[in-house]
Amino acid sequence: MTQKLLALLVVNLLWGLIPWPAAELFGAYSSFLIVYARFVYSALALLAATAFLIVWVNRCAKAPITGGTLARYLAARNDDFFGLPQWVYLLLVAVVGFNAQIVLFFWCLKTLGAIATSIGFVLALLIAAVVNWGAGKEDMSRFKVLYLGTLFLATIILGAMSPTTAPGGSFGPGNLLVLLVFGAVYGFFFVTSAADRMAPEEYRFLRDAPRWVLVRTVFKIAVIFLVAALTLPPIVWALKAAGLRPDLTAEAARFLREWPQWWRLGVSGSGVVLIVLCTILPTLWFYALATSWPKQSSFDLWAGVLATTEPMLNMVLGLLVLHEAFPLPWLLVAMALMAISILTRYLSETESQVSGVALIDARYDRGRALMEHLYALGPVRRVASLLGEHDLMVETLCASSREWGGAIQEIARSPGLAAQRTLLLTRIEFDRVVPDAQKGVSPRTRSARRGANPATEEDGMPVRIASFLKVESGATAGAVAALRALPEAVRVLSITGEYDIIVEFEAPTPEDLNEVLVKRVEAIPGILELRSHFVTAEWEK
Amino acid sequence: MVSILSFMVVRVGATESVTEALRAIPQVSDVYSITGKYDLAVRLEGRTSEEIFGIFTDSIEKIEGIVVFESHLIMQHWARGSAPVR
Repeated sequence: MTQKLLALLVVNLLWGLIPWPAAELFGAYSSFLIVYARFVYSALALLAATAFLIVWVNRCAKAPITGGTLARYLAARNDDFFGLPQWVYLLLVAVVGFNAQIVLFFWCLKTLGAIATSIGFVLALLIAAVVNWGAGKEDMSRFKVLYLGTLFLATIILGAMSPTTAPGGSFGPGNLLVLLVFGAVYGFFFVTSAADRMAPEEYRFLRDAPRWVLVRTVFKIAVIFLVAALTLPPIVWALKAAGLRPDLTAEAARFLREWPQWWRLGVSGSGVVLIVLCTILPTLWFYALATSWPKQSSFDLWAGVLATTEPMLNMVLGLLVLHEAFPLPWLLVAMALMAISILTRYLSETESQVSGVALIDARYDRGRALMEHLYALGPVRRVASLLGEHDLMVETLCASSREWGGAIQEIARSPGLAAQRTLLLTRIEFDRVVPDAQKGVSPRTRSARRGANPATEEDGMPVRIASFLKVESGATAGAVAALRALPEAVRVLSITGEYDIIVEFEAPTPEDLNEVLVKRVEAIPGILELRSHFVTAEWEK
Repeated sequence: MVSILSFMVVRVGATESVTEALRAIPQVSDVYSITGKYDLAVRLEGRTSEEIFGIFTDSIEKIEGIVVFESHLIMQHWARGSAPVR
């Protein structure tokens, strides 16, 4: 985990280096051309990476990923984004979020400098913290170190380094507005770029090609870069025609003159650093980390927290490397926003959370439709299809007990639901569920990773059951400890209500599971009742 | 291999059509007409959990006439005079 966090930090630092090569390029090229070349080269590299991944993934896929698979992915409904098709979501994120924020970022870098631009970053982080309020929790001690460290660094920048104070000509309402718009569109991109959990149909792709998550992620980013590249020239042309500001019009006119020679930028030294080192490498690394992040930790949360290093590095670069003249009011605005952003994030993390489990009986002919409906509900984090006494197990995560009450009522109103039992999840004792990118990896490989016995099933797909346990009063802690010690146990949840513990077991065959239940679980002292359900499918956000 | 035992309550008059529909599913190995709380018992087999999920959502859910069904994973099977069957 520490290595992954360090890798994420390095990724953000690579992105944070952008002002350095960009400052070299601003003298030779229009800022729009720098952005355009970055989009085109990155799109080509990411599309090539997608093709490479497809070939690699198809070597061990039951059904190969094809162009048709990617087309179905683009046509799938995105329940996180107003139920629009995935391609519409990508188009909007690419144009309104990505394209707009990158154009404004480079424009601000060129006209206002790296330090002032960091204000937009911080504003975006603030927006993201507010929108994602209470969305996840992490180890607080790490946060405290990070927050205090960030504040400490900010204080050093403010005081010890004594920034050069310029006359203040750039601190006008027009520039401030540009910066605020940059922060807003970057905030939009920050919040929406991850709003694309897998559609139910994609679990079929995942079944056939276990590394589908990695392919779809790289393909998605390639599409965003490609759409951004294709839409940038007409946008710049429109900017020139609109004549909003003389400097903007001149920059747009310069882009249109330089456009035929856009490829030259990619063969210059600073261009290579900007495109390869500060764009393609961190982008691929970032999304590779996202798809392999441990389930018990929130990637989005850590990505948001470590994103604060990017504006910090921008400030340091602006002061120490680029020697920017910087009006003091800009710095005060930056520091105020940084402090509010950190405080908001901190308050969000300390917000209470309520997790619940609903056991649902479905009407016989509505199982799949009900599962899809529940999966689309906001508070629902995971839906598992069961065979046994209950048909579905639904896990919810809410920011308050009041919100949880609303979620239960919303679930109860679901069409096709015959009965519902609600349990309060008091603690996730243990979660060894593998990330999506590793799903379907042979049990032999996975077992070897976690030190269990190697599996033997020929088709490489393990069998999972969810068992609901009632235990004697006072015996819960001992039972949980004994269950955790079983190598076949992949999740142990403490709950209150009709049952006391939910435990999920995974083994190569049903016979192995029988051995686990009959010989080991039944031998655990204090267990009064054991109800097991076969998990046929699980969809997790 | 994953084996499932399903017990079904069928609408009066629909037993024959439901039985035929179940028999048409390649993964269904046995269909029993039974007395008692349930009308039919069905044994089906698939290679993976996902295949079983597909049998229920793509085939059984679409059969007209089933009122209730309850399904169970067969974890172990003993035949008379032999070791557990794997």
